Amino acid sequence: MTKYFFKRLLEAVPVFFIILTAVFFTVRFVPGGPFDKERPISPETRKALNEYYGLDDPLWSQYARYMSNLAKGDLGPSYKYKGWSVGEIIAQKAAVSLQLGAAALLLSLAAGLLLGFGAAAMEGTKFGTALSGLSLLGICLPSFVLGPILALLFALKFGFFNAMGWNDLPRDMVLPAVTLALFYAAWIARLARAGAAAEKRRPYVVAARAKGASEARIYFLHILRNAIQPVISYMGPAAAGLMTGSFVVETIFQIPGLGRFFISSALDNDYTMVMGCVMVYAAFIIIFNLFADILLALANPKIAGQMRK
Amino acid sequence: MSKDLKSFGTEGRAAGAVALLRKDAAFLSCALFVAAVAVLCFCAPFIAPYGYDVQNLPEAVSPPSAEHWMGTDALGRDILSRMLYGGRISFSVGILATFVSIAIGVCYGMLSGMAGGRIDAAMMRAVDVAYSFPFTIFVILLMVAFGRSVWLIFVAIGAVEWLTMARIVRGMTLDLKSRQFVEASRALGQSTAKIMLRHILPNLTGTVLVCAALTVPSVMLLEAFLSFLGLGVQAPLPSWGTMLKEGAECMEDAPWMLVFPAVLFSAILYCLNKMGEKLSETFG
Amino acid sequence: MCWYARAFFSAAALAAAALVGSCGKGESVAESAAREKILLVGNAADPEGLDPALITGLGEFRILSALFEGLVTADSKTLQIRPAAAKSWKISPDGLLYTFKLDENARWSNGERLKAGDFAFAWKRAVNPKLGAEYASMFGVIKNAADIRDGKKKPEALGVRAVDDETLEVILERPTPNFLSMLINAVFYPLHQPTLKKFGAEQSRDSLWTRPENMVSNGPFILKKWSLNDLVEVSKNPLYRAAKKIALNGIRFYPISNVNTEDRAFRAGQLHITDSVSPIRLKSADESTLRHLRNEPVFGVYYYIFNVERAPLNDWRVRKALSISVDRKSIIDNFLRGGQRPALAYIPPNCGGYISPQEANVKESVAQAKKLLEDAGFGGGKNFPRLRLTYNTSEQHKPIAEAIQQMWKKNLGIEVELYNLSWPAYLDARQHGDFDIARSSWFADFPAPENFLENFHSKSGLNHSRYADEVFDSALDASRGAPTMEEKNALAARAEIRLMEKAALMPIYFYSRLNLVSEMVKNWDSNPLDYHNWHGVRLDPNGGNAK
Repeated sequence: MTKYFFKRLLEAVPVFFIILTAVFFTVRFVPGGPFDKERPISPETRKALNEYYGLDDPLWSQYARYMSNLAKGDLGPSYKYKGWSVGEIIAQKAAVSLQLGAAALLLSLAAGLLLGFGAAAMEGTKFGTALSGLSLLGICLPSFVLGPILALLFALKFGFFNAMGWNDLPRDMVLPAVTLALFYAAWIARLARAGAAAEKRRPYVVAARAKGASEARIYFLHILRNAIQPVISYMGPAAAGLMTGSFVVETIFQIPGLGRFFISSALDNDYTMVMGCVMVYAAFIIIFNLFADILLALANPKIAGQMRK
Repeated sequence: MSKDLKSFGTEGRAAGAVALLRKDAAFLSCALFVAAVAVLCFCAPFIAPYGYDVQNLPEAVSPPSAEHWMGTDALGRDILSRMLYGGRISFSVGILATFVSIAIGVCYGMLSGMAGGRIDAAMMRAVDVAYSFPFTIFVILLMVAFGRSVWLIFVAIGAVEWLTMARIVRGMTLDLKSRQFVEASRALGQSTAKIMLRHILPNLTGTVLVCAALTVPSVMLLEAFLSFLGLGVQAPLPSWGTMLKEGAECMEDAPWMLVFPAVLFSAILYCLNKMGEKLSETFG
Repeated sequence: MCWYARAFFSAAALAAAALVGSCGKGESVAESAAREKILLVGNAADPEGLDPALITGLGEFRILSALFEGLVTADSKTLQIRPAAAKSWKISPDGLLYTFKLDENARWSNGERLKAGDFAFAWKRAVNPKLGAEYASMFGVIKNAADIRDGKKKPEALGVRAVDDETLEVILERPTPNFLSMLINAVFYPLHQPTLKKFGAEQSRDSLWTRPENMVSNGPFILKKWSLNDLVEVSKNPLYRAAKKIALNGIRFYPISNVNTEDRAFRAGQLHITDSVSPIRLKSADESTLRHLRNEPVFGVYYYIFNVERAPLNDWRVRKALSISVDRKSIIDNFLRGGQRPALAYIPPNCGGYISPQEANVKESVAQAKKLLEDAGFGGGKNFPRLRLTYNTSEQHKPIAEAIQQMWKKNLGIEVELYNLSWPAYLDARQHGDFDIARSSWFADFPAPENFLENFHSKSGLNHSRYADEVFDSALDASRGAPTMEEKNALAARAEIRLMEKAALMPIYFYSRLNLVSEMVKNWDSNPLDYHNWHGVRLDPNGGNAK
């Protein structure tokens, strides 16, 4: 297993490299420079700026410099925020996104599994149909509609929570985490339900039931263990998506997370910041996929066997 | 749905699935609803009471009335008409982007599966790489760099969504390749191209359909997100995404601007998702 | 009911109970902040930096006006110039030499005396092209500034000199009667040289001197916290020369980019002052919104520019037809709703005591527009090419563009294509003349007509419409060189009439600043420059209850 772990990590290095290279060159196609402001700057000034940030050099040499700095752990200065380095911004903002993401992840897992397995357990009954319908709602409404509704209801009308901010933890976490979690909960519920429904018809379940095992025992010992596997594989990308933050939720609830930098850096031509965000995302995807695979191996000895090879 | 498709032969599965689905009331009502809305939307120029860009400024932000059944927006445009025209865009984006993703995904997956060996490994590695790429940034960069056009949205979104399709198709191709009927036709001297077209492709139909049915709603949701960023279709053309965004901004002051598009949008997405689930249960 | 349903319901009930149990607070955030005398301000865009020489946004300026103090300040009600770091000044009879005497109580936040040399240092740093300060053009009236910007002279040659620690001499390029009013701008703030030197910031844009632990400032407040996309917090500076006048213990600036979020935060009692109000809120504004609403005309104009190098926009008749066929009042009454004033001319009324002459005004008339278009060879909109209207992505610009697009279609029979771009792409398109018609706006840096007219001078880098007109240029040059405000304004009027006669631009409306201000806030005055020196602003925690 350890060997497998390190092999996968090693494999990630070229992946990382390819992605960074692709993004480095793509951002330069976007019209406008990072220093354009409504006020014109004199040609002298522009020259000085480009010189300072090395933007006059040929693209390939800029690329080489960026990569060699990166190897030293330097992500460069942000072009937009004066006096801030990309590394510093990421370190500060990722902490917030991680907290919010983790809360949303737990919430979506709890709600998703509950809804999904519930719907499968009661397949055919009215309640089961209602549950499976309910679980779909999260993928039917965009979060920029849902977020403000929750804020109006629970912050303004009932006064349970603050309408914005990230100070009064964990209370300030509730509304954004719920908004964020609903979409993922719906996916998890769908996967869990489909998995459990398929598993239920397997011969071993029928046999266990014939032997007189209780429904609960069948559920917890047999069905869930197998049905949860598709959920685990989905958790890799889902966790990465949640932990890197969400532009929509962070905007609506005014949360100082990384998600807003993802979008705004691309819209503001903050080249180094775009690279930093891409890097965080790719790293998270790689790591969480690896975690998911290991979890999967724990749940399923067959897969563990393949890993050992 | 308890009856499964094992009783049908490989070739007859599609026909069997249709037979099963035809009896499923939930699936049928969803399909009918989506079809009805789609037809209405595509007939918008003939049935919409107003043009999508016809303004009446003094009547801006007026609640539902006899003239405007669903009220008017911030510039006095008829919400119902804009919903119909907007549906055209949203459906087109959903369907065309899905088509692009299917085209790329199926070709890529099938080629990878058929080629096997090193090529297959390399092609799948590329998919893995692409998976760790943050595609929101990619789409935004595309939109910003190459101006705004509806077609670009299709391509950009399609280019994002093909990865899962490619993986699934490749897995199935590998499986089918080793089946007896494929080996038999190979023994008979049929070319690889012919085998792919005659034997592999038809057997992928079910899976591709399931995947497509689930891709359409997720593309429509993605379009809404792009609209939230102001990167949606070019004004004054409406899409459901832009209407939701505009509605969400004034949900307290002009609830009709949000409620009608949101209910329709959610209903359509709900039905599409439900249909996708039913399809996947049927094709298992 | 099976075991599963029971489990499900009990879990749901538990969760609901926990949710409700955790709530119910007595005092709002704004109320408890008011007790601590901390003002909570919504501040629009996230500040991109806090270096006075390098800021460009109004939100950044608002923060810096709390941290620094220039030679003079303006009364926040009347905008009259008042002494600040300089207690007095003398102007030579020819209007070229200004001698400022610094207040002997003026101190840096580390206790050091504020010296005249701190101003000279800051100004020479700002004009240095190596620094790349966007607002360096503000120094244009000071001797040698233009040559320094173009790299022809060294920054040391700037016409500013510290005679001794208390005396600062400024030599101007030409008599400028409104020079003092320019000095409230952030580029004219003093800087603490040893601090900048320590962090290598003398010629660098990205140093650490603007961080809370490093910054040394001379204003009523000192920087306490700066967290991106989160907040900037300042706290009272006990060493400020006029600390008595400051009633607040601190200010928190929240960069809230989403106007709806800000509105909700205000209503949930998390803000004392918002940065803006969304137009749709004004439509159904209830009594509580109206009670908090402040509406102040500002020196800002919203307009469209034409690319005058492109046919058919090179024909003034076409431009004029486009401009006079738009119903400005309807856009304001039915969409903007904030009491904005239709802009018939270019310069906001009363800006520097200037009122646009009648002759400059656009006379809206569809019939006249149709005739002009016909004269230009496009009767009934026939053969009129499909022009592109470029704007940057925003909630406000899109509907206005849509409304104007419709008016042109209905009134003149011509089609334009709307084209929205991200901010950098939009600026790029404008700077490279890659547009037909483009959205524009301008807010006064200092109240004077020339600050607006400058944008159409053939030699100005801001002249994106590429309008080149000797008659206009010479009138503007003459206005800039005039020794008194009366003469300046008279000449500016000639320039504006010419500009509007040739329809170099299409003015749409003059901005109003709309914000919601809690009743807890006292002595908060609005003014057309949205300038605040924070003197006298105080908080009364019970203000909200006493109606």
